[in-house]
Amino acid sequence: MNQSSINRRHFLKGLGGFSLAVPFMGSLLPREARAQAAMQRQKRFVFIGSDHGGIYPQHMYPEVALTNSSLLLGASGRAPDHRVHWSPLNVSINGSSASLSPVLSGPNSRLTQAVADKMNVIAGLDFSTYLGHHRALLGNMGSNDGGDFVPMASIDQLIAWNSAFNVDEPRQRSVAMSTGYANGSTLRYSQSARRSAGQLSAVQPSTDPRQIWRSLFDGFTAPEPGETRPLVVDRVINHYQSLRNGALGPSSRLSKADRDRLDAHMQALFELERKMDAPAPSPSCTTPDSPSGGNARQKLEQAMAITAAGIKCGLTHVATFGVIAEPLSQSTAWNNWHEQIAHAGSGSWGGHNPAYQQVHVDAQRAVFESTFLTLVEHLDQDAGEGQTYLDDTLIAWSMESGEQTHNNYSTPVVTAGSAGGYFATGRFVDLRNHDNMSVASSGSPFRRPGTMYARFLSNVMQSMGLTPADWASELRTVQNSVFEEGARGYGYYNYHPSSFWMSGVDLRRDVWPEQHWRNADEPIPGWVVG
Amino acid sequence: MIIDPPSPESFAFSCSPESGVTPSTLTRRLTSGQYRSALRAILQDRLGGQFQAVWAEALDSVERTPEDLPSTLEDYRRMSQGVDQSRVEAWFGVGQTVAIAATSNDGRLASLTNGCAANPNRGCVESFVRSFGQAAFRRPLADDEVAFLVDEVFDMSQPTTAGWRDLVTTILNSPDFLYVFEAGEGSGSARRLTGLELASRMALHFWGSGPDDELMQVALEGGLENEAVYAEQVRRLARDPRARESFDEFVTDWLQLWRRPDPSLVTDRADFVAYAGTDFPSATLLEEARQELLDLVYHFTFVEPSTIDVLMTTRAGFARSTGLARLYGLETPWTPGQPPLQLPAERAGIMTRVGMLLNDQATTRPILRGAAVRKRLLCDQLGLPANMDGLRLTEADDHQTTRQAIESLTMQDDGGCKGCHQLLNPPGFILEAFDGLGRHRDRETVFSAEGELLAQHPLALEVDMLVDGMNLQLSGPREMAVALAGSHQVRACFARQYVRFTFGRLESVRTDGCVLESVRQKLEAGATLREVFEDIALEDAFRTVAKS
Repeated sequence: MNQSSINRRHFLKGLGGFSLAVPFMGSLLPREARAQAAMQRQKRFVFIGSDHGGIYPQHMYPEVALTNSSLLLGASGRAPDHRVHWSPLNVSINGSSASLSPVLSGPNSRLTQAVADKMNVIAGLDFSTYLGHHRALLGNMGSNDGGDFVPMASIDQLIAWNSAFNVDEPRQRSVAMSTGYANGSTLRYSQSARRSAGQLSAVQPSTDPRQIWRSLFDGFTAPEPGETRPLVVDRVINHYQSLRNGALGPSSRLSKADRDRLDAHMQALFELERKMDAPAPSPSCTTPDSPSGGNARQKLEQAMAITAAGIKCGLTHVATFGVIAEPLSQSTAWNNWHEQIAHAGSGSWGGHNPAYQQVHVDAQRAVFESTFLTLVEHLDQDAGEGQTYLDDTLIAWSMESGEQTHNNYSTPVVTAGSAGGYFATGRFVDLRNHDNMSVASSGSPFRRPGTMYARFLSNVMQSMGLTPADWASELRTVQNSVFEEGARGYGYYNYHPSSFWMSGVDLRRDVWPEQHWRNADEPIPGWVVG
Repeated sequence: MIIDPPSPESFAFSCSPESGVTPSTLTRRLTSGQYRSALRAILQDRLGGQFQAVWAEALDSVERTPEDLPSTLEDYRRMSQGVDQSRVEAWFGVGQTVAIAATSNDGRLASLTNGCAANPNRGCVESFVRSFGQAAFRRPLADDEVAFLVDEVFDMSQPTTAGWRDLVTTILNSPDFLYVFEAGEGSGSARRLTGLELASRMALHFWGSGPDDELMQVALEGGLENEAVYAEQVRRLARDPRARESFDEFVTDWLQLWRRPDPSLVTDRADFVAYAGTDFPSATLLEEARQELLDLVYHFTFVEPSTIDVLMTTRAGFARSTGLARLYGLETPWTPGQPPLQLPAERAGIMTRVGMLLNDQATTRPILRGAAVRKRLLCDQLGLPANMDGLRLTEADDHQTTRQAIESLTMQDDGGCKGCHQLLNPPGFILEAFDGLGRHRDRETVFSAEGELLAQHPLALEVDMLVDGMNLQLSGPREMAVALAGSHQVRACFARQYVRFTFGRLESVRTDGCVLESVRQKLEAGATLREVFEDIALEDAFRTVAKS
């Protein structure tokens, strides 16, 4: 018998047909649609979430006079007119350091005015309910400790699997990495990213940049000339199909649950087949070396460099990172990060320990530098037609806590890139209603209500080519009848009991009138162009 | 101390007519551990002397398969049942890697195929498919399945090494290997598992692997329908050394041993160095402390079968290392196979073991220790703090003990914390008898960040602790241990924990009432842990599948 040589691509690449509904494949589009798609530029979405512990607003946001404003919502209930303000971001230089705020600082060679001109800093994105420890920054509000929300698909997966988003089918629909935060909170459905079509499952994040490298750059080999043997992935798929369709073994033995599992598994095999059948990167694509490891900061920087290389090579368009700040701290003034830095450093104003807050500020600045700025550097490079890769991208960085620990007022968002001109850039956009003092207190003298974080998520998805119809079924499921009343955005329409944070304050009447939810698919003034 | 608990029936589960079996809405996949164990067993059986070399080449790929991660809601790894793209790709990669390694030279190919590869004919290829397939699928293959694999996958018209590789890859990626299909027999919503399905469930539960030849043969002959034969097989599996891994998985997840921090990583904190003194933890201490708890529960389950009460009160020690033994004040460690150590009188039960007490700071974590007692032993439903806005540090200083710091924060009448913390704090305060390295102490020592001694506070171990619905006045670990040993709530809770592990899902008091109540009653009647561990397989719920 023959002992034919082993061809990895022979093993991985598939040719066989299949009858189950397959996920979107660009190559299957009609010619006109493909021509139209070719005229579009591929957008990308990168999200960085960092963990627990609040950063006080004076340490997070630029201190600038807010020169422009627009009415977000007229007076309602006891809430006064709500205006949005914005101003240009101006980098302050102090020696070799450049700064927009204490957290948003770095070497002046990296944080330049040109970089700031492509950034935004957004204040005043609120969760109207208490989330405890949570991993809900991408919309999966079910991923929190102590709450009773059911899981939701995260927006990165809704984007990554959306046909309008994918002008070019990438090898990896998304990459994810976690250094300890947000493990498993990125959820997608087993079929077409839709609740009605499959089961929700967590996307297993990489824990090391080498895993990202392998998923993006490992395994490309040319097909062996003359290879005619059908390929093993097809054989496996055929086996699944035969079993599912009752062609093998006792046909009555499979229940609906069994078939659902088989369908989900088959879809993953189709996806594997599609990935291996994807064209190899163009010769101009530079494959980075496999990362060599290092300390926590070096690993993050390596992950950013590899992801950026993957984006530039068209191997992925979506990436998410869950980052814990603790390993990036160079301070030795603490021994219990959670209780000292995350809690004692940013609890009630006046009762907090300023030294611990400073440790946290320094650590989050290290997150900013090692992730956000590194990505910006790698992507703000010529992509042709006078654009950089960053210009077609939206990078967003946010944190588990708002301006105080376990308090989701003003969850900070820092962005770079305009998502192909969808967003204006170079701005500090302040969504807080500075005329609404209803939730200010001695423990939180700076606290002002903003608008819904759900609106930010909706705006992001729309910037990537999705429409609210793409997530309507998901929203309807988690919001039930309330949805029918007109809530929009992406999240639970939910107010925490009024007595929770502030005795005597009615959140619906005094803080966030319902219009904040009804308008949550509309563009955020000052951020979205036009 | 007052111990006058209410009747056991206060914690009884309702075995109502609608109880019986919880309908499965999700077809179970092999857990990560089951997948690896089953794969290893299949290859060992087929490859004999070639196994080690093949396994070594496949190991990197095998270790890339995602772990099952326990979470707040899925506290047993068996409950983690997601299948995402990375897992499917990892499984596929393993199938290929194993196939390539097992066929990479004539010797391996000969072992794998029992010599068939040298001169393949339909008969011997079919024989390979039937035997390799049966080991993987945990059942014999039907004729049409054999024909599919031989004709469509191997391709008898063109026998090549690639054909063998494709067979191995396809079989190891077959849904019949990766998932557990249970159709049952008969009609209706609750169906008896077939003999082969039952054998598969037994082997996966007790061994985390597929049935061995004996169990498979008994199942094929219909022997599992005979109650005596079935019970004999249950005992054989439960008492086989291969059951240890699965048993340890249960204990690890029950006590959440993966939650303990590693104190050996704290090398740059002067206060911790001063706190630890000559007992500065080695790099292996955490693992040794976990192992001690596994050895302890194993001992009182299989070596000296005892009731659950003994776990709550025992002074038997199983410290395998000198460093761990020294934390108990002993010079000589335990040697496996020898009688256990006798720990000092202040140690009573599993909660007083280093593995349940370790911290990675120069202080203790009474709230987390208390949470372990309340959630893992008593099954209290306690959420996380609802409002931690402004939560302050709860550490001892030169003016106050850790207990005082926690009480001042959590026990204010208007603070909203008291409801849960009046349950959580007492067991945690009792365990203040042990420091963050699990050493017994009679005072709390506080160091500055620079490692200077700041204070030595006397301990206060008296608490009012709610057990079995009664407020008990307790004044130390031994009294708490006795209270837990006599607690009906602990027995009902253990029933929940073991049922949760067995079925790999959160128990339902409505539809799982009968099996929960049966296990609880056994515990109340003084059944040993071994009986409880084994007898779960005798329950109707174990032998039935419900179809929704």
